[in-house]
Amino acid sequence: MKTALTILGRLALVMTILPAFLYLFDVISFSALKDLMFAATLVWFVCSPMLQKIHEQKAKEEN
Amino acid sequence: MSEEKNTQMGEFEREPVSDKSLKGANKFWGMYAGEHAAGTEFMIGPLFLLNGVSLQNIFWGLLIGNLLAVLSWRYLCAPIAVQVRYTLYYHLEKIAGGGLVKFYNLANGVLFCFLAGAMITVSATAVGIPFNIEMPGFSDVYPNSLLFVVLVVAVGLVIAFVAALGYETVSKFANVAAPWMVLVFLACGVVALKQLGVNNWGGLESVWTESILVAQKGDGKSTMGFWSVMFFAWFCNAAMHVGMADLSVFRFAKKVSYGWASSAGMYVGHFMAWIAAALMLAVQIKLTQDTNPVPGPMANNVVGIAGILCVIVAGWTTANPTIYRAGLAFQAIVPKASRFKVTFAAGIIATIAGVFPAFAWKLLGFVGLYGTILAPMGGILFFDWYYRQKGDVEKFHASSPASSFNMAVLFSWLIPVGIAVYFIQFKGVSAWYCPLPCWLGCGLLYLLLSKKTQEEVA
Repeated sequence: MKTALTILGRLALVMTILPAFLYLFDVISFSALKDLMFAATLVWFVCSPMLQKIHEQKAKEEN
Repeated sequence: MSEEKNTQMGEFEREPVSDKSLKGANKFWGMYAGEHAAGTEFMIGPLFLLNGVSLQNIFWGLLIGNLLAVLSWRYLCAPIAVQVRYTLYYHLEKIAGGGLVKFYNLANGVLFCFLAGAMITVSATAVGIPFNIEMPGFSDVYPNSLLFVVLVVAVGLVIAFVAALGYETVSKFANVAAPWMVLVFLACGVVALKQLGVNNWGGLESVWTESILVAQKGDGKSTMGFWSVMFFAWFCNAAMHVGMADLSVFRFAKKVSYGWASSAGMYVGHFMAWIAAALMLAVQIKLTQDTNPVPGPMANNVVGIAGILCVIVAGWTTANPTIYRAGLAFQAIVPKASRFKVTFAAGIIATIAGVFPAFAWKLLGFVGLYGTILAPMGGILFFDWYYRQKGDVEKFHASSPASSFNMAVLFSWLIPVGIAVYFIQFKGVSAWYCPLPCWLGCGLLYLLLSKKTQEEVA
């Protein structure tokens, strides 16, 4: 679970910035840029808090 | 720039940080990078364009001004923090007395409320987009419609309520949002470049100049040059570095070299994000001839919903801890009042300020004034540490304040700041030029007055 969330979270961050460069070099359209960035935002805000919770739980257990 | 600091505010408030509580370098690099990509960034970049600053002056002014800010953190603030390991407030209490620190807290609290107010306005401009609410223009001092007032009050009340509930949830959310926000800022800049249709420096300069001409209705007059940009970049966080508020942060640093971590905040937030936000306004001017630097619509133009969310989150994650800290500052004055009530009251004051868009539009001047009023206390602390305490940590830890209201500190603070405020208000001097002379003036005056007081006692 933790590994999957970490990979998804990192992918979401990559997909937050990558569409801007793809748009800059005319690889994708403006509407695709907006959709991809919105999708990446959703994935990041789902994965990152869950990952943060797992890290906190782990830190609590170690203490 | 941001006020979100010190998640460990509750720890070591009145004692030096213990060795086992010290933190590694990564924490500081991450914290500074995230905290300085905040709601204020959406306003500051566009305001440079509206003030007619040339592109060259922005690049060089920000490059050098930010470097000076980093050096201030590294060589003025971090060394004292790592030696003494006190918060600013406890350190000041030892020099100035508890009564005077409360007075300083009051100034802090009031200024925090106005800063949070500007951020509530920023968030409201994004929340209002789905409701098609007309936003106030750059020349508006007062709200432009009843709907805008209702919007700001609704956003402000939610922010105030969450801040009053506590700090932890907001702090966690801010940590989650920080890396995403930095990337959205960068994406905004990249997309803006494409939409401006430029592919070299010359093209960018020509589009920039055209945008200034449109914004200033053909005048093209610059009210800010290289020195203004440089001093603004250096002193927009004056309260934090030369003002020593970040003693509270660096007291947890293992090594003084962690002061360099501030460069992450300066070059990500105060360089990349400011320039990206300025380019967003240039795009808006090119596409619609609209020169109002309203963050919500500007971000929507370049990256759509992700941009709108970024403005809401950036404004919210700046306003919330700022209101919380204003509440703490006020609570130090009325310790018996409940923290919830005091913080909520601070939120109400911030919301009332947020109703007036002028606080957001005048952010450059306000941030300069904020530094002019608060930073000089850091000058007193600096001169006291090196010239009166001679850097003797053990002696300083064992000392107690000579009085609860040190008049030498009060006059050393108020005289230079009073003179500076007069020049800013009545002589039109730009506020960002004042923190440096005030800081030096306060420190030197303190040495003189404290020496005189000691001689009289002797």
